[in-house]
Amino acid sequence: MLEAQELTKRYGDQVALDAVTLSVAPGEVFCLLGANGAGKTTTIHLFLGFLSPTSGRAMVNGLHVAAEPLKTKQFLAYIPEQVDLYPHLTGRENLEHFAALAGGKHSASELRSLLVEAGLPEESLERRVGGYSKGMRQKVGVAIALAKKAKVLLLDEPTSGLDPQASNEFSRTIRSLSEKGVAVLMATHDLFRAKECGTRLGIMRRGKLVTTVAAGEIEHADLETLYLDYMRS
Amino acid sequence: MLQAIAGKEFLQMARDGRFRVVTLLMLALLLLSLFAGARHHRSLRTERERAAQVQRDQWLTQGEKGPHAAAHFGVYAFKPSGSLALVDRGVNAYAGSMIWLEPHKQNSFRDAPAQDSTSLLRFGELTTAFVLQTALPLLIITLTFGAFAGERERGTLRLAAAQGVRMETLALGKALGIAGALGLLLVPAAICGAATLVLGGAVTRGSGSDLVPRTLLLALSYLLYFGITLFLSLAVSAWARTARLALLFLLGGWVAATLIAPRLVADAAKRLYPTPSSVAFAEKVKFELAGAGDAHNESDQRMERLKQETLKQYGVQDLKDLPVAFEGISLQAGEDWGYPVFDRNYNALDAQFSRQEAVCETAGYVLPFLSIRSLSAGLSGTDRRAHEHFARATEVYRRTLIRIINDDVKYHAKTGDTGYTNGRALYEKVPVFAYKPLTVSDLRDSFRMPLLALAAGFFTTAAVAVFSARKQRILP
Repeated sequence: MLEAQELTKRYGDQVALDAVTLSVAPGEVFCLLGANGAGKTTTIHLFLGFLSPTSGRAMVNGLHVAAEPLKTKQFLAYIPEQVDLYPHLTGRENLEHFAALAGGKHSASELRSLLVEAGLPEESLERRVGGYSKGMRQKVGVAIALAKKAKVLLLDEPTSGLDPQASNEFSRTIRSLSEKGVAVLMATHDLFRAKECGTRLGIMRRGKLVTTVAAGEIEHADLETLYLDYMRS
Repeated sequence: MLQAIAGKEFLQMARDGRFRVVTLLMLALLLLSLFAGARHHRSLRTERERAAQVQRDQWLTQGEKGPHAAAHFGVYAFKPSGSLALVDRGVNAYAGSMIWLEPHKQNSFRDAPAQDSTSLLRFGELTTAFVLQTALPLLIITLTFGAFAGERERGTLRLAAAQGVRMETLALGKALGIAGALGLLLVPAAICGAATLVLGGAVTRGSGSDLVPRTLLLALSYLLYFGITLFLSLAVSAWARTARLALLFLLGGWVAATLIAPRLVADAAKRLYPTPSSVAFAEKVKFELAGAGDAHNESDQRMERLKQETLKQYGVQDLKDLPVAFEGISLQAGEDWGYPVFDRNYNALDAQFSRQEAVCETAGYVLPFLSIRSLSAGLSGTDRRAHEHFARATEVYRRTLIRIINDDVKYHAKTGDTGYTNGRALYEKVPVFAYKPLTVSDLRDSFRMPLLALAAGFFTTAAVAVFSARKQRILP
């Protein structure tokens, strides 16, 4: 569903991403781990077509992102670290707008159901987003992904800054989506959360995907040791 | 999708307190300028109608006197104020509104409001045209500068882009949404404007048939002008890295395009096609008139020739034997000799002004402010062309008046009889000055270029906005 083939991004002499090859199958949650500047966000931005690769290919559902950026986006949903919404609109209005941008038409009750499904309290749906917490905005982001019925979910540090309860709820949502066959690529610093909801974990360092490991085959403590070893080397 | 984007944009603005405050202020400014314009227009019209009546009465009741002396008593012609002058006063502040018509001279206009005002007037009166041409683009800039750059900084643009929306669709949707929000300001202002025109007495009998196409064309011109500002602002917002940079660039562009460049273009046009100062022009006309022949100077060579020709025409040896008064013939001849001088000089001056205007109109393809200024004043009947047309009409009237007077001397007096007088019966033969302003169809050709420039600017800036939106960076 999601495939990077020798994906490389350079800014002059600086290598942001160095021949990364990975694939994420439907129902899989691939977590990219790594320090700041390791290339996690760049990978996601290349899949979104926000950046053009220097070389290599980013493929979504068999389509080349650089060649068909709009078509590939039909299959994608994206939740960044900060889900920035329009503060003067309500949660429902924000969802309605972003869903419309994807070509979707939903009734008000459908929109409300999606927001509730994403975990937003019912009483907050018609409140302006300007008063929402970060966790609530993330939930609107999830609702946007749900409304799109995306086959691929790209998550960029989605739990950063969330309280443990909100993080936990978020992990559950991701797992539920992957169970429905959604392929998830998640960039995160949070080893615990990655181990909890990921099916495969990749460690990135200086633009390279240095190793990948199945989440079920490694313990939390071992993952931390492995991560720190790669960071030090 | 376009509707959804436009709807979101509109809703977002309508709920933004800053937008409401700025829009209300702008609406207040527009209404204030409209009401002030209507009041000014009404008082001018009343004043001029009254003055025209008074001067007609004075003309008719000036008493028995020599007809030529009566002609020198003179009459004033007052420039009527068109209904749309309440929107745009054009050159009225500088060109003068009345002219004294007397024998031998084509006088200049008097009573220019600028003469009675401080130099502050030159920075622009608070007219509806000033608000629409200068202040409203600022509002559009403030509404639009963050459309892309702000969303990019806030992060909503990448979320929108990830949804798979075409950036050109987003640009057009935003343009529609912002236009809708501007409608909240412009629709009430237009309704008030129409009500002011009708209820405020600006619509007079006879103005109705021409007023509708004029108003519609004026509205279309302003909509194109606002569209250009909107699309240009969107393009800059898409191109600029930050909203602050977009705002700086747009404000700089506004200052350059509305305050500096038009003046530079006008100066360049004047350098390319220079016009004399009013003093130099008057001196030149006076000098040429002196060489044309003087009806009051019996030793003038041309006058001598006229005497011989007249004697020959009537087959007599002495002027006293003429069946008509030679004074009437010579006075009219003096006028006739002067007309080519006036016509040549005024036509040359008018041609230079037209060339200067052509430079400004051509520059209007790059500076829409020049096009809208020209169209706005033209459609309001307050531009130089309208003034020139009125001036020519007064000159035709002056020549008619003088001919009636001179013919009276010619056919009713006797040569050498300095005691001939006439009175009200003669004065009543001089018709009341009735001016028929230019109609929209008369002005078709002069409106074509600025209107084309605005239309071209509208479509070009729309294309630029779409192109910039498509090529913009999604990430900050």
